[in-house]
Amino acid sequence: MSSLPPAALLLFLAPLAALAAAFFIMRPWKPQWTHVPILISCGVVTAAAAYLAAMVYTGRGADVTLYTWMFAGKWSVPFGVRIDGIGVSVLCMVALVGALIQLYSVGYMKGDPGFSRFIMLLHLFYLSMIGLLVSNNYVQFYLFWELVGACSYFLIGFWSHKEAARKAAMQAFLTLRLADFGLMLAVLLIIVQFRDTHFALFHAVRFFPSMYHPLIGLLILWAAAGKSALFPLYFWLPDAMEGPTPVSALMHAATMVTAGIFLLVRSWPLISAVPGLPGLIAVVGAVTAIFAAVLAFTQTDLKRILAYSTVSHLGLMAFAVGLGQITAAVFHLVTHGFFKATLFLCAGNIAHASGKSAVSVSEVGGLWRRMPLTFAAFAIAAFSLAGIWPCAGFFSKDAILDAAFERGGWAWAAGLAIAAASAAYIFRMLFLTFFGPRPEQSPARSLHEAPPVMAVPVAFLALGALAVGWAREDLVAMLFCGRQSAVAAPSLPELAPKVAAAGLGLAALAAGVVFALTMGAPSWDWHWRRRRPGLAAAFAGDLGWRRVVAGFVARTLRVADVVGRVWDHETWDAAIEKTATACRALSRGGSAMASGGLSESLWWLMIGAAALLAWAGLR
Amino acid sequence: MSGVVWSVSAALFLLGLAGVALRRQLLAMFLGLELMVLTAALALGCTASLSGRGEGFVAALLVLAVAAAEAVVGLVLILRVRSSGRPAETQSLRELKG
Amino acid sequence: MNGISSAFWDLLRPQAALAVGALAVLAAGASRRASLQVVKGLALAAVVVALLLLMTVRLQVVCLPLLRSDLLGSGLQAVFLSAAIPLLCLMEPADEVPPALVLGSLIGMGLIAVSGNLLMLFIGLELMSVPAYLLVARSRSPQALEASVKYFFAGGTASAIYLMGMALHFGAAGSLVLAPAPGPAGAAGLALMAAAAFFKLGAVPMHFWLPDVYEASDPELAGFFSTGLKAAAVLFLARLAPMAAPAGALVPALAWFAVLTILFGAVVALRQQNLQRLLAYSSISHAGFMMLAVAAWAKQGLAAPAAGALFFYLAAYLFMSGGAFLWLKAAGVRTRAELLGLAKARPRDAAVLAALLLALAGIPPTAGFAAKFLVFWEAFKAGLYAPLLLAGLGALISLGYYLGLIRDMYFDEAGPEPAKAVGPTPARWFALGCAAASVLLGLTPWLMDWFRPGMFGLRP
Repeated sequence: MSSLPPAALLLFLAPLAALAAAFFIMRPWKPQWTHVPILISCGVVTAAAAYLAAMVYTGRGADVTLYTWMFAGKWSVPFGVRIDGIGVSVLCMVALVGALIQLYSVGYMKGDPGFSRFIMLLHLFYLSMIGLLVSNNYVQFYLFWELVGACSYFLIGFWSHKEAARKAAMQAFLTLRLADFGLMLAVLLIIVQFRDTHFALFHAVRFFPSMYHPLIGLLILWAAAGKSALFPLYFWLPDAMEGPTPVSALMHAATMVTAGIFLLVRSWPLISAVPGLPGLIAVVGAVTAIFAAVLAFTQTDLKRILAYSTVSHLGLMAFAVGLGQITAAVFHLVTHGFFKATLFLCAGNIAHASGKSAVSVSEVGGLWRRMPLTFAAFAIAAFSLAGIWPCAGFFSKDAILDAAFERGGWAWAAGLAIAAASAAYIFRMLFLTFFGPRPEQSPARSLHEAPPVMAVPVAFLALGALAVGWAREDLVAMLFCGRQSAVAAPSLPELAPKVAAAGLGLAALAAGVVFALTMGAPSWDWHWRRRRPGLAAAFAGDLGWRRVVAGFVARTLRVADVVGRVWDHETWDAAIEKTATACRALSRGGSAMASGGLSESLWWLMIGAAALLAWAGLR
Repeated sequence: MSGVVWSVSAALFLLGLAGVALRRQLLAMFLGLELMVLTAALALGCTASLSGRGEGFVAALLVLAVAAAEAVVGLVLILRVRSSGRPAETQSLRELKG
Repeated sequence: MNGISSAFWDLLRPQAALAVGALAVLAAGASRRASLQVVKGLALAAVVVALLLLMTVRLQVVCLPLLRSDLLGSGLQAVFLSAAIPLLCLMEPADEVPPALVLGSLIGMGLIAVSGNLLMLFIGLELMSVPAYLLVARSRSPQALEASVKYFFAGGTASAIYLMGMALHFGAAGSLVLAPAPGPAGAAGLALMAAAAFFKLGAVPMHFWLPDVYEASDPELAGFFSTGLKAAAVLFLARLAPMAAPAGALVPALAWFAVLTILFGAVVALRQQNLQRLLAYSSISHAGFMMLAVAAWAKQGLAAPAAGALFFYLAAYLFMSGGAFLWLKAAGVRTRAELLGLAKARPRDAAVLAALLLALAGIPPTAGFAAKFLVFWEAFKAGLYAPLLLAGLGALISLGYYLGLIRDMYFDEAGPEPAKAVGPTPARWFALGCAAASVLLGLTPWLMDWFRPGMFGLRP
């Protein structure tokens, strides 16, 4: 148990070696081949993740502290690896999906002047997410969490010549800083309360009520809400579409937004001990899910629709966590990774084919003839997202619906609403893009299927979106293997026919209605937009939430301005200014004391000796 | 008896200190320095003979030897100041400051 | 008796090697056939041999009538012997005398390290200082002689004060062994001897010689002073520490002088333009942290972990400060104005200096951080809360110039006097090695434990 499997070391060594090789050898020598070591490392990491999964599946987890950096008394900063069911199940998904996306991006970014920089940043992003998943303590977790944030900042703003990209990157960065600050405070409070940041503290510590405990839980929720784009802080994610499409795919499916949900799952023993906090998480999740699904239904840009759908699904996962079904949440995290990556890469195929970075559903239509493979992959992923049997999404969503049904009341209603709404927006997207073309859309004559290096990953991901759900039993079994925390996660309920039927029926109903609305003779989708420009604008502005946020920011800034002028300028700044002035004056004085005179310096020597003598005499 | 020794030593030491602190000619300051060192040696020797512990004589002897070495270095430095064309006074050594 | 004499020679072996080396250097210089390279090589060999002999000294606390050895002493002896290596490699002497002077100074430091007696301590002190006066005088700067004379008079006065303290101590205790002396005369004697130690360390207000000497010396010599001589001065102070009772008046005095030194050095460094002078004030500030560590050590009754923190600080400082001075030699930069926009013109040099400055500033994860952290932790354990707080303030102020230099290099346009001259290649390698070591040592603080296993408890 205590020895570390070599495969776990490979998770770090392979990407580090690949990055070093790419930076020191490939980049100066043949920058267009930078991807070679990196793709090799992706393969190694995926294989290692699979091996670790097999290990955990057979009941052998590991939790090893490799290195302790600084320590003082009982407190230390360790670096370790924790291989357990929760971590490894997400790790497998992240490794595989991330590897496929990086393969895809080799085709997508070919010929870009920043190709080698891009591919290395992407790999660093991948590495930091993997480090986060196998961390065994909060300090290390926090470091990787920050690293993930920094990488996302550079990647969103990768095309820094675009004003919008720079702005989006800055917005994402600032929002995430807000969230990260919450996590930092939480970690500090954990240190203060438990004197230990190791996740194993959840084995041993009997949680006793304390002042800090609810605060830690709230701060963790705040951090997760920022990273995973939950309701009050979600707005950075749709704007983060300005980066290249593979970045969006990686961020949405594997490496970025899932970190917040993973944090909630990891901290579940801590969170569940705070009364009322799980309920709050469920409410936040449900509100996010429904709100974002409605918005996704009204968007026109392909990537924006998908972005809101990610927000909605993250809300769904948080909803599951809040209902106590962390198993279902992790399960949905995994299936979501596959189908969302597929959807993004399909959107990327379309954008790549049309030579634009943003494509709208009202522009293109009837693509299924031109891009049959993309269509097939998209359809599978859409079915999966809508939760239609036998795709992966069906199983995971059903598990969450089941939990909602158990809870009953508002939770059950919310669950059904989410199921219907997500089917609605994704089928709208499917119909508008691939069916038709409608007279309002331009005929897609010049579009062509993606090259093999992009098509193959998409095909594999679609396969995953189709089939991962069948491994339900194994995945659930694995989640409970390895090192477990003191509070056991609930096992998944059996498939309940009633719940499955309700979910499926609603999804089918929504699909039918959407078909009528979009493909019917006068298409309603264009109709309402033209008839009610005010309403369209309201939806584009996130039902006024953006204005609320903007107003809040503006008001905060104004208040901050007033406060700033009084406090900052007149008090704080003045104090700093005075300190600096005092320092300067002291500096000048101290400097002047060294006047260069030999006698003066000897006098000071004697004064010093006399002072010591006096001190000794005063004893 | 020991009171006399310490009074004389203190007086000589302070005299040397005053010479170092107040004189401006390097050579005079150097004499003050030597006076201080020799006073210490004197105190060591006197204390040793009063208390009958030979250790102090040894110490005084070694101190004298070391002081001689130091004196050579000091005189060389003062001579080099003279030979560089400046008066051997503290006033000519004011370039390094701040 | 036989056992004692064999232990006696054990302790003196490194010093004997250095003495033989010094004689060989002088002989080689006199023979006129041997080139200066050979002379330097001989000196270097003597230092390396001394270092190897030091490693073979048995790990035990030995107390003899005149000598004693302990772990702190042998640890710091390794620090100042190592500090002499880059100096001997890089110095450009006109004849054989400077290398011999360096060896002589090292013998003095070694005697301080093994002395168990006030007289021995005095001989070590003088043997260390007198060659240093001459080494400063033989530097290339036009102000070298002025600095040397100032150093000589201040140092001579400090020696005389020490001697007087020693005489008082002898009068009070009747012996020159390192043990507390009774009565007011004993206390006064200890205070006077501590004043001499403070002077050697450059504690405020006895520091005025230090910036002058560092500024006028060649950079590699200033680097040796700031690391090797500093280690020996710390050792000198540490030898006096057992004579002060843990609850006595001198320990708080030490802590408060430390605080004064930290703050004063940091504040005055802010306005320095000459980089060697700036580093001199930074060195004064760092000496304050070392004094704080000594105070914590004395307050805790000479506990081993505090000695470990002190040793770690000096070992880390060897790389940080030594590296910075060697960088000045390597880059041929003298003033702050020459640093402006250096990152664009010479990115590698700028990166090396930036790493060294971050370490000096104590930014994690560098060795500077680990060193400050350990010292602060020991001071905290010793209950020196108020000095600790003010020391933290001093560390904050010092960011003003360390980070200011980095800003000059990275965020400013090139100034009117861009640095062009580039120093010798070995200096670049030394500076690079020091920068690497000061980062590596921060990531793996327990590497120091490898030097003397289990000695300081740096491993969890």
